[in-house]
Amino acid sequence: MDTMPSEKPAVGMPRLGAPAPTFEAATTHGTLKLEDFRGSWVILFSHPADFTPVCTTEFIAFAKLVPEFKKRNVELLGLSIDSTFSHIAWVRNIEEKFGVKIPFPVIADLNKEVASLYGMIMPGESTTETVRCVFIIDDKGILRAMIYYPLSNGRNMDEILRLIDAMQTSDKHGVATPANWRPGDKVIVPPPRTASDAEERVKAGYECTDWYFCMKSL
Amino acid sequence: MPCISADGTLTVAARKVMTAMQSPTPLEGAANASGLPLYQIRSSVRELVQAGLVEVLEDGRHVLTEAGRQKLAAQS
Repeated sequence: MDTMPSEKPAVGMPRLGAPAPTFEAATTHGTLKLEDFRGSWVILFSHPADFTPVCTTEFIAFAKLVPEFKKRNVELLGLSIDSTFSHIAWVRNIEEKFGVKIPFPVIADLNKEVASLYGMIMPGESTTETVRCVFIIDDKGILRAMIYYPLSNGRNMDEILRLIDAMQTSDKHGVATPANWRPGDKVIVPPPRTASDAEERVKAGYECTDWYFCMKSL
Repeated sequence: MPCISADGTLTVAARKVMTAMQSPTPLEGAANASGLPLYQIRSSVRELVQAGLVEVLEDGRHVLTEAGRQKLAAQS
């Protein structure tokens, strides 16, 4: 009898809009719990391994954007399946060789606890390393966005910053943002839910292409 | 324990947090005074309370215990 190739059970995945899975982990800044970040947005991101070139470029790029993240009340928290000692040696090496100080903590997830909670290990890519994940958690501890990149390609930090801006704008103004939106661009007014609201909408003074597609400046 | 090194000495972060808590201080105040992010203050204070070096007052502020004062003074 033919059988399907055996597969390991699917890795658990967190869900958008749900509370981010909690954890307590050893980091380069001491033992941290996710709840220690309450009141701040958090970018929890994983990298495959310390002392690897793509990851090094990403850490440098993240570090350079820290002032921009701080302005937005965002803290960074890195992770890989390496030891604290390895992380410390690597961030010191980055400072020595590239002149960039890494100011954010990095989780030493040797037992893969956090990686498993967040579905950071993709066996098709690697069973021993985390892929390049980004989890954006808001100031109330809700998981708001997830981005996954493969081992071979570094992330676009500008897009992560742009997404933070977009989500914080949506939260503040109750609007949505169109493709490729940037701060200062027009935003989308949420579509009306009833026929009578649709009738009202086109008279409301927004820039409407049709009843369901209205934009405004903030 | 990251606040206390293996040789029993206070770490740099612990000294900063404890220096900020010589008089009763809210966590946010300790963050401002020490220049450390609030998440690191929360983490450090949790460990310092466990170690008996910092106590939580009824109004929620934190302050060094006598043991904490002695430990900090010994390393200053």
